[in-house]
Amino acid sequence: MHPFARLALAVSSSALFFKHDLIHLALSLPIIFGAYLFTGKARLLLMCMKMVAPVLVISAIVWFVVYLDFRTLDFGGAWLRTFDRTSHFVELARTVEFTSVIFLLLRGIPDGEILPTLRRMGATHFLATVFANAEAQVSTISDSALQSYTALRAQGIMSPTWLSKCKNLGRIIAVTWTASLNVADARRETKWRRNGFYSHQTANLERAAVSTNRWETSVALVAALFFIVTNVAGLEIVENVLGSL
Amino acid sequence: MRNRLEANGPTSVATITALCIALNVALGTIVYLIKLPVYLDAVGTIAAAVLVGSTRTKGFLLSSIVGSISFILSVMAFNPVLFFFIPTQIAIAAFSSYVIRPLLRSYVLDGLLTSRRGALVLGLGVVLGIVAAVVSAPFIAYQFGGITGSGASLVVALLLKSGSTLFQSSCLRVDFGAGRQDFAAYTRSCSGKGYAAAH
Repeated sequence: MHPFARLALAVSSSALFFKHDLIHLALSLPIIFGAYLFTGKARLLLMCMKMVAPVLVISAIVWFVVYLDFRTLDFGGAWLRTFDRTSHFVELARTVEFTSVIFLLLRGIPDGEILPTLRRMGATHFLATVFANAEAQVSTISDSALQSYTALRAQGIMSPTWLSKCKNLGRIIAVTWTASLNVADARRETKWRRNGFYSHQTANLERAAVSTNRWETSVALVAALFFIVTNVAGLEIVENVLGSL
Repeated sequence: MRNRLEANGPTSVATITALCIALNVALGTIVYLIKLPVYLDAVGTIAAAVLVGSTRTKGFLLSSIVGSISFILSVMAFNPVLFFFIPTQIAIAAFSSYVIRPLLRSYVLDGLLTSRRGALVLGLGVVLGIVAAVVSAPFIAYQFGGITGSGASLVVALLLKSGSTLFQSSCLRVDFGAGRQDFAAYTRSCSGKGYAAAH
């Protein structure tokens, strides 16, 4: 995907916040699904859904409980208030839609191309370098955190209770930190006075090519256009079409 | 420490900044993973504000970058709603750079934590928590209604159910504790022989 198409999709997805309406929110959903599927990022879509589904489900349940009147046990009323077009849960859903687009744009960058892609998207060299380095470390940390959690559970050191998790917070942090960060490398880089680390990256950046796929770029641009049409430019058209149906 | 960082130029600043981002996201991931109703995702931001940059303004800019990129990466890693709390990180960066940094930078660099310094750290932590709460509460309250799917949402739900208003509940969610814990965690990590020997 061309960096310009990424930028266009990112900017156009902010149109989701222009209209606080359930219809437009629902219309944006197929665009996002389409963008994922037509760019061949089905696995990324699954990963994204695994990430956002618990947030949405937990929020829906909590809001349902908050709205539920325990004296009358009006389940229907609580359900309607939870999914009302102006409800906070719908706001959260809109946020999740927006962030799922950002997820596609950033996680969809091929390995090793974050730095040149960000540069071509307009980020400064320092920002792009920091982002690329941090992203590399964070990917390792996320995996390590899951592994540390599983390891502590498997060894019987931590039980699934909340109290046990609190007691073992230090252990999880320590194991994750030790397992994930290659401190030696970082220190070596820091102490490497006048080294070629930064300039090397600069030199590589000038030569680095970003893999741009025409199909992916076209899909991203079409999705960006749809976002603008459904949320900003053609509200009346969309409403008329929906009304006629 | 300062001279060493300055002498190494952009390499060391970029490395330390990236490490601070990793620290933020690591602690944030762990807390989110086990659904604790606290936040520890500003430790790296505070560290960057206190340690990086030759002036307060540079420290503020770099720690703002740390906070912003941390939350963008957190969106990609585990929590889709964090994108909207970047202003909170910038507020924490501003407070840490312009208030905490001048008061505590020398303390942090010599690595000794006396009882007087401890009291100062706790006091600043409480104020930082209030700053974070004041900045995040409007976002939490009006964007999400206080419930974002994290462990702290249960506290908000309980408060809402008990009759508190939305804004009160959002303010009272563990943001007060968050700032204090972030700052206390950072100070603990900086104090002691290990830190003093390393720097």
